[in-house]
Amino acid sequence: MSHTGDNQNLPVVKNEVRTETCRVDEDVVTEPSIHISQEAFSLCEADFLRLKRGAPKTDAWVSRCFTAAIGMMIILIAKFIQIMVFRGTSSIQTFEWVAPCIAGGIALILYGIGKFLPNEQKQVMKDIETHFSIAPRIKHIGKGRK
Amino acid sequence: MTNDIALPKDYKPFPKLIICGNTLINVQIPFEIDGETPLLIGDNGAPKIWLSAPASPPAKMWHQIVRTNRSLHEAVKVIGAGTQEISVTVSNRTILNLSKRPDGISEVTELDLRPIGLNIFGNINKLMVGTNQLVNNTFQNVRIMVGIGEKRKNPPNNSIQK
Repeated sequence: MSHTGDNQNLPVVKNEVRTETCRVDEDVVTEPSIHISQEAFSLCEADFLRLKRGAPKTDAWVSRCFTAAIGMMIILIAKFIQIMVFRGTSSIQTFEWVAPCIAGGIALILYGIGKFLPNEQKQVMKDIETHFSIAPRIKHIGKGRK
Repeated sequence: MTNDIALPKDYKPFPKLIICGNTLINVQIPFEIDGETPLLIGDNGAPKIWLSAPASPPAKMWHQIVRTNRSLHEAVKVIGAGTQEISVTVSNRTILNLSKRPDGISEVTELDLRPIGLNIFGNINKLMVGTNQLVNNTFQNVRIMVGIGEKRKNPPNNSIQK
């Protein structure tokens, strides 16, 4: 190792081919200049899986019923436009507007049930919200708290 | 200690990397501080960067601030992610400039980890680690280029260990 102090007597390792780690016995940690707004939430894998798969089972059915209701409504609106604007001959049957209302109603009921049923995803989300509402703000990423 | 260092699963070191004029051939980790890796530069087609910073004194906790070219901190921006030229800025101050050449070698032409609390910086010609200079060296078949802090208890006058 060529140790020279040619720049303000600083130790220098220069023009070497090394096959071992260069050990520096000096504390290089200094005061940082960036800020972190809040302590990060420590999300463990189990909680991540709860977030990923822990949604209430009613959610999928809410989505299906709601999509079906919207689909039926679009057809109904198309028929309505055809009758009113283009003076078409087709007529709207009672079941055609009752069916989307039923589908929408079922979606609403299932949503309400899902809202009140306990589920793991909701619990983790609540934990995260609680963390960010009480977690102390940190001034620097490296030096203490505000 | 150094064997305990956990590296990201998708981290694949460059076969040849130049950091501020120092060439790393088959080197896994550029810097190691008490078992932490502040900077990792991986080769996944385009360069991938991981950056961590000490979080609280006496620097036992570390925060990851860039993960696979994705910033995890509002003040940190990764410019050019997915391309062959990447810059990382902290509050609009450049802390890393990296480019991958057509021959597959990547070069760090500018490095300044002082904004994230580490006295490591350099330009195209030399690298400063604390008060130590590394100029035009080649590190070959070694897991860590520069290891910092393991022998802090008895610092010698000239702090680079032979």
